[in-house]
Amino acid sequence: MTAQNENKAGEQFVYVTYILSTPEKVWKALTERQFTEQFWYGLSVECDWQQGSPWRLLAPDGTLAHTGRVLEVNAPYKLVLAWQHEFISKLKAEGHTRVTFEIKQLEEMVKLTVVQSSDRTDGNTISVMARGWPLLLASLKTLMETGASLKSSRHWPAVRRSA
Amino acid sequence: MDIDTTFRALSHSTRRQLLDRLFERNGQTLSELCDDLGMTRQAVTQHLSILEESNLVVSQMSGREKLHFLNPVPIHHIFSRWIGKYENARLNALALLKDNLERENNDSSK
Repeated sequence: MTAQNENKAGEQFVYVTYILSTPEKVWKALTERQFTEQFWYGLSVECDWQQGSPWRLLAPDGTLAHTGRVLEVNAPYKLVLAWQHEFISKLKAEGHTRVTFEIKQLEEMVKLTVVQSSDRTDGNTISVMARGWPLLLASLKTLMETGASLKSSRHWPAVRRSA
Repeated sequence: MDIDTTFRALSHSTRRQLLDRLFERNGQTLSELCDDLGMTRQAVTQHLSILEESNLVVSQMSGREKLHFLNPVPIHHIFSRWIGKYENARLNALALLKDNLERENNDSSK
């Protein structure tokens, strides 16, 4: 079964940002904690990025924010993760979603596509997480292009403005 | 993919309406987006292509269907360029100052 067939029944969002950078640098930013801590609401990512390996995003106070498993890895172009929301119990109970990062070089830019999908149609994980990604991705772009992330994306817990 | 492109794309009410529709329900086909819009398919296609060029809409194939998704990331760049600069703390400080000054005015006028 392809991811697209699975998505057909469930919910998903597709976010894209264009970054003046290289696929290697964007890959490092998504997979190394010294970068994720700067733009991912202060979260550190932990994983060896091998297919089948567990991964997690940890808050500075040790709170488990998100966990999962690496489903597919093709550095620095594609990463597919099983994604379990951990810190809101209602969302945790909804189980796994799937996040796909695709990184494409387009001349001097990198096109980063993030798709998060769920097989469920009755869940809230997709709509809640859909609100967090835009700031995160804007901050990642700013970090890559200027060397500094957006302040509002640096701290945990994330400030959730009503979208 | 500059801010001018984003503003140009947002400057037309039909395009904002298309974004609103995708906000209500993400991942729609062209036919679904055309429903009750009172416009030709061709006109809607043109508006959608402007939205795609400005990265406010992203399309993906799902089987044989092309689905359209709202991409709010460029709008966040506009937000972070002006509003984000001031940060919440400063905005809160200003709101607090305004409250205090207004209260003082009210007190002194009593």
